[in-house]
Amino acid sequence: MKFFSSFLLFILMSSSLWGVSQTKTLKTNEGELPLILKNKLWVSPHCQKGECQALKTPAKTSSKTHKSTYLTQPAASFCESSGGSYLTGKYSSGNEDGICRFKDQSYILAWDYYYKFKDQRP
Amino acid sequence: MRRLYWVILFNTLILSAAFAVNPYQLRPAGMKPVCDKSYLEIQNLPPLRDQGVYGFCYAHSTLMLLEHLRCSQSSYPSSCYKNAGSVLHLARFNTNKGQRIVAGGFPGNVLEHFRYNGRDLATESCAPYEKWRDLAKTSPPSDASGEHDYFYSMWNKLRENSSYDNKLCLANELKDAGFNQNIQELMSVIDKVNEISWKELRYKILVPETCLDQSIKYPDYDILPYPQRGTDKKDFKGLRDQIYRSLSQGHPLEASFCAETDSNGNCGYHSATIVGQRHVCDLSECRLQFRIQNSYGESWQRHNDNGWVDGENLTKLMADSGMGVTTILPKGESLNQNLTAPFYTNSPVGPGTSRSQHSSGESCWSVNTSAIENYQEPIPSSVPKFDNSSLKKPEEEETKKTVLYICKKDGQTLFTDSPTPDMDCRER
Repeated sequence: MKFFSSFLLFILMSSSLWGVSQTKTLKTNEGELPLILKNKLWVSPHCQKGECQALKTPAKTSSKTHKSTYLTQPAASFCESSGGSYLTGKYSSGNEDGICRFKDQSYILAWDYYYKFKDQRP
Repeated sequence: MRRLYWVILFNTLILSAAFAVNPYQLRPAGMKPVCDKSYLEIQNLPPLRDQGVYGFCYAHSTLMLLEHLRCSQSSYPSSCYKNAGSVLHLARFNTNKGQRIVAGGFPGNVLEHFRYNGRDLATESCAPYEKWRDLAKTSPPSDASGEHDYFYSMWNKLRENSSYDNKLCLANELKDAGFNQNIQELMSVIDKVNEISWKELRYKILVPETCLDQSIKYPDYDILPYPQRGTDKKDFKGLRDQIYRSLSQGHPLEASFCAETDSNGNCGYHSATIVGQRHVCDLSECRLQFRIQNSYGESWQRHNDNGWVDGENLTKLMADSGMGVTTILPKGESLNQNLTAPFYTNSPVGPGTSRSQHSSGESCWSVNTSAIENYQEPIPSSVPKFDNSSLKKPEEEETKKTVLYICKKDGQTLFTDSPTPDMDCRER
């Protein structure tokens, strides 16, 4: 019984530590960009410690909009209209993904940013 | 009078909002997939792509079909996919007139023209999609006038000053922007500036002729659009059957639909790929789901239940906008027209239905699959009814009888035989 509880405690502790330090890398044509998981959002490492623009609610929309009869990718458009710049890259699996990068060089996965802030932006 | 106008306008807005159909509606809380013969999921798919802020969904979905046709039967699909075809080069086949690429197009046109022109495609590494982004990023998507497009301004500069020095300067600028061609190759394109349009210039630089020397040859194919031209556009059952037939034989489908409607009622069209179908049920009802592989990147799939969205909404959006699905088959293969999509009108899930695990790892209701084979007769609404008469009733269950409770917890409805104190439950 004692062994079982210790084993359970060990599993719980290691899984929580693993959750905190989850990382992945997106390979872009500007180099490899590391991403860390913070509060269920994939962000640039320096968002882990202090404030960063990628985690701030967009204050106002930029004039950059894309109007046409065909659709652009919503998270990419949301990123650019929130003052960010959109950049795509590849994971080691070969799958592509996009990040939204801001003036302070902080970045966040564009769909994480979209679902976090799309209803909060004025 | 003015008040009446505002009342009518307000009601119209409310009604249009109420009837707006979400193409990516996720399954209701509490509904689980059913592991039966209608749970189809294509394996060995190409990696997920991201179209970014450009209207190239049509080229991405078409390329996905072509890549799947080329690689899915190979011994090592994942290594086959590494040497993918170029999206930009494929986009050129949207039209048969001239060599140019535009944002916005039709998958059916691309498949037809690509087949007609020999099925050779430059590789993505030789004509990368990101070059469009790098040079058109000041004004995405590059519009018809060309205003702000890098190549449009370059073309104008060259026509104003065609001196050797100016040409060399622009060729060096392209080289600095990361183009693989050498200066001589770039100069040979630039020299043609008085004979070609700015869009042709853009195409010739983004997809250099040298790329065609190492192109990929795609296998020959037949194109099966549904609905066929001139047939009933609102054929919901026909669409569902066509999707089921194609997936049953291991072929993904391109789906075009109205994904977004603006306040003036104008449609924003989108194209994605359907790679799976299944039913999700609770004890009272079922919903049809399609699995979408979108050109929106990996995290879109993660946020949207790995691409599993409501199939009925998507079928409605395809049918209502006069769009549909397109599949490609290896030359000579045909779809089995005798197959009809099973569709649950009553939930086949009851108290005591056991659970199993699908090959994808998802937990699902384990249902007697012979019920699908028994089904043939359509119900009066012309929607096929799933025959669940062969399913065991709860009292016939050989397993130990259990009492099932319907519970609410944190706003979600759950079915359980062992409720906890923090749940608000009633016995079913």
